[in-house]
Amino acid sequence: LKALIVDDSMTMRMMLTHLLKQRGFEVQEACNGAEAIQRLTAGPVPDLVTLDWNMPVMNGGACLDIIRQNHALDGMKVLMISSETDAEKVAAALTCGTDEYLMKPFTPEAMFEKLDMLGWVREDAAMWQRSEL
Amino acid sequence: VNLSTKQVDDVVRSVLDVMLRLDVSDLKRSPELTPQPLMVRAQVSLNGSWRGQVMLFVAPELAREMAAVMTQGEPKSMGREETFDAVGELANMIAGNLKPLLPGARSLSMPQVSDQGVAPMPANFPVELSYRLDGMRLCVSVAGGSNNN
Repeated sequence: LKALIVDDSMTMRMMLTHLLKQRGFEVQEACNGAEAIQRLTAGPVPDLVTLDWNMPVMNGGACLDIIRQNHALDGMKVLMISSETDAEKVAAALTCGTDEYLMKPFTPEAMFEKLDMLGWVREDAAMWQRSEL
Repeated sequence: VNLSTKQVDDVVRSVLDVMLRLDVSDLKRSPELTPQPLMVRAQVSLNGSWRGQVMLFVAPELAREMAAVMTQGEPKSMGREETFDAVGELANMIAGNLKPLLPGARSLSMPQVSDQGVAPMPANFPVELSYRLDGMRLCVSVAGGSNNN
């Protein structure tokens, strides 16, 4: 599994890297939307992009527009992670094609729950679900 | 539209609780304290028909501890860049969580961080909260108002 973390905050990139590695992701980082697009265009395409909204150079909304216009990236999941907590921004992000939205601040548990919702179910949870069947 | 002291206090405690994993009861309100020179200061502007600023002031030692908790590092290894980035991100989260309480606030600026401490405060309904955490000082100020006022 590969993930690209897009956030202008070094602190957030470090936090997210730590959490995603716990769930088995190989992680790359980008400081803004433009750098993310460069990395995505160069390949390989990651399984997941975490995308901040407010960033310099190119914000998350503009980056998401470009991602969703590129059909080579159709299978890639996008998780918007932002301090923008008003319903209007969340709705705009979901309308523009983000798969899930996580508001800052967030706990590790909330992050893992979003990964579960995107289909990367924890091994222990998956085993429990299989035993139920 | 005015923010109450309680609304700001709730948001500050919520952000610090989640990001720093601290017991919010450890965060003591200390109204007698005010921002001082040499504190790390992060400022986020809100723009729209409501315009204003959210400022977070943190004692340098506390700022290093915050950065260390957030990045799982050691306080003594936290330099200026790491410390400023962590305080800026906390200010960004506080501002982002206050924004839905301020109809008309449409966008957030990037955090501006310095170690200049005290800043001139606009007079339009400032909310100032001061805390002690492990004996170290932390202050939050919110100021601004509707353009229609």
